[in-house]
Amino acid sequence: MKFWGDDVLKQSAIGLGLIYLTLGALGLAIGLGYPMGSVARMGPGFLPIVVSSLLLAFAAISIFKGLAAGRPQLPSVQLLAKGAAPVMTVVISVVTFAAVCRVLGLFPSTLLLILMSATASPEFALKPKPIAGAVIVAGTFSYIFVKLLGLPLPYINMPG
Amino acid sequence: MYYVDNVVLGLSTALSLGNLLYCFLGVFLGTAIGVLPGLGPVATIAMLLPITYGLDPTTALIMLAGIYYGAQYGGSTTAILINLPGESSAVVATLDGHQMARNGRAGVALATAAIGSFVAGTIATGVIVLFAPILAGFAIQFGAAEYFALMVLGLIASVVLATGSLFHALAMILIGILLGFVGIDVNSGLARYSFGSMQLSDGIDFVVIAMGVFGLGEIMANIHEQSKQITTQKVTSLWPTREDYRRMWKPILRGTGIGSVLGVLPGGGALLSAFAAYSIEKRVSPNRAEFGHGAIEGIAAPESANNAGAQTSFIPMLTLGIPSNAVMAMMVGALIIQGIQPGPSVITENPTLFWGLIASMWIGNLMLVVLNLPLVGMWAKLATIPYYFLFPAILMFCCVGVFSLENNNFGIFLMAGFGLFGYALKRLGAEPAPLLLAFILGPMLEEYFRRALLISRGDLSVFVTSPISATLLAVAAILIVIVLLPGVTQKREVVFKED
Repeated sequence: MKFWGDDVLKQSAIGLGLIYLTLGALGLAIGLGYPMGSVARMGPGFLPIVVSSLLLAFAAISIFKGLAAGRPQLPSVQLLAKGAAPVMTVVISVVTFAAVCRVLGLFPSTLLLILMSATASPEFALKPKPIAGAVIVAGTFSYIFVKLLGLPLPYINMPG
Repeated sequence: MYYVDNVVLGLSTALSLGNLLYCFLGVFLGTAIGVLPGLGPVATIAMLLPITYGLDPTTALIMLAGIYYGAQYGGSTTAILINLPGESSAVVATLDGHQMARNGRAGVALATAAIGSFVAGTIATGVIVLFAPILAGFAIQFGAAEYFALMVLGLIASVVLATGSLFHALAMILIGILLGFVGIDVNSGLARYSFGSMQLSDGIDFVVIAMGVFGLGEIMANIHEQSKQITTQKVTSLWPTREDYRRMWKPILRGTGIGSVLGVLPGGGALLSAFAAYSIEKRVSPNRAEFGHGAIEGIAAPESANNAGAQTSFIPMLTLGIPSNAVMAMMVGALIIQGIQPGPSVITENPTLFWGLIASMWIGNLMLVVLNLPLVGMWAKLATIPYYFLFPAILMFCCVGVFSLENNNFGIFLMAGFGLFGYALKRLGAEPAPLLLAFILGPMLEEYFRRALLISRGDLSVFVTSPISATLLAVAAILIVIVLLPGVTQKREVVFKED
C-alpha cells in the first residue's frame, strides 16, 4: 500500500478526481436540500453533506496532484478509450436485455443478449456453430429459470 | 462443556440432509466457477446469492461459505494444471505448483494442495471454535460509539493492508458510504437520493453493485484479451512419496499458522495469507534453492495459508459484524437480507447458525478433497472454455440473477451503469473493493454515529472518552500514519517484490 499508488494511478489522478468531483457535487447539491438537524439530533441531510464535502476535498486534491505532476493527462482518456467499443457492446446488450425481457420473453431476450454481447469479442464470428450453441444455452437455461425455478417472466412471447 | 455442547449442536445442524446437500452444492458450484478465469469469489457469490434467498439463514450461509472456499480451491487447481489462476489468491500456486506439473508431478502438486488445505481448514476451524465466542463476549458490551469506532477501524485497516493507493481507497470508501445513503432514511422516513424513483427509494441492492462492478466491470476489462493457447499437464500419480510428506508437513503447519492470524485481520483473508506464507517459506526453507522450480514447500505453505485465511476471516464477520474483505462484506449483506443483525449477538441469538456454519466448514473441506481429486480432469477441461463463449453466459446469469432480486428489470439497468463505473475505475487503476465494503457498512456506520451523538447530546468527545472507542480510533490513525511514513512502505514493497 502506497499513499498515491503506482504510475497508472498517478497518471489517472485527474480522471479519478473528476469522478469524485461529479459524485461529490451531485451528493452535495441534493444533500443540501435535506434537513440538516444538529449534531445531537442529526437530520437526514447531515452525513450526506459531510461525506459529499469530504469527497469534494478528495477530488480537489486528486485533480491538483494530477496537474502538479505536469505530465499530459491524456492517458486517462486514452485508458478509457482503449477498448471502448467492446465495452459499449456489453453495456448495450445488457440494457437491451432489460428492455425487452418482459416483452419478448426470456428465451429470445437471452439469445439476443448472448449473441449481441459475443460480438464484443474479436474471436467470435456469426457462424452456424456458435449460433447453434447460443440457441441451446439460451433455450436450456431460460427453460430452467422459467419453468423449473419459477422466474416470473414468459418463456417466449409470440407476436400478435 | 460449553464447547462440547455447541460442537455437537453444530455437527447435528451441519449433518442434516438438507444442509449437507446445500453445502455440497455450494462447494461444487464454487469450485466450478472458481476454476473459470476472470470471475472472482465476489462476483461468484453475487451471482449465486439470489438462489439462497428462499433458504433458511443457516442453510443459506452454509451454502455461501461452501461457494467461497470452493472458489478458493478451484482457483488453485487450474493454477497448478494450466498456469491459469482462477482468482487472485491462486497466483501464488502458479509459481511452484505449475512448475511441479511441468516436471510431471501435477498429481502430487494437487494432492499436496488438497492435503494442505484440509489440514489448514481443520486447524482454522478449531481456531474459530476457540476464539470466536471469546471475541463476541468481549464485543457484546460495545455501545454505539464503540461500534462506530470499530467499523472505522475495520474499514481503514482493510484498505491499509490491501495493495494500491491509500488515497484512492479512502475516496472509494466515501463513494461507498454515499451510495449507501440512497433510499429511505430510517430516522426521518425521507427518501434520500431517490430521484423520485420508487425503486431507488428502497435503496440499491448490494448484489447489483457487486455484480456490476465485480462481474460486468471485470468482463469489460478482460474482453479484448486474446484467449491463451492452453496446454494441460497430464495428471499421473496423485500420491506423494514418503519424502514428499516429510518435506510438506512443516510448511503446511507454518502456512496454517500464518493464514489463521492474517485471516482475522481486516484486509487479510486468503490473498494476503497466501503471499505472506510463500515469502516466509522461501526464507526459512532448507530447500529454498528449489523455489520457483517446483518445490513442494512452495505449494504446501501458500495453499494451507490461503485456506486457513479464508476460514478465519469469518471470525470478525461472525463475532463483530465487521467484514474484513469484500467476500465477507457479501456475507454480511446476506445475513442482513435474512433478517439477522450481524454482530456479537449472532452467537447467542442464533447458535444453530453460528455453530452449524462452523461445523459445515470442516465438512465442506472434507468434501473438497473428495470432490476435487477425482474430478481434476473435468475442472481442467472447464477452464479451457474460450472466453468469448464464457462471458455471454456469465452476463446471462448476472442479468437473470439481478432480475430475480425484485422481479424487476430496473436493477439490470443499474447493474449496467455500475459495470461501466467499475470498468472505468479498473482502467484508471483504482481498486473498487473498499467501495463495496463501505457501501454495506455505511448504513450501520451512520446509525451508530447518529445514536452515539444522540446519547452524548452532540458531544463529539464521546468517541475519545470511551477507552475502547479511543483505542480503536487511535489504531486506525496509526495505520494511516504508518502508510505515510516512507520507510515502512519501502520495506513492505521489498517483501512483496521477492515473490
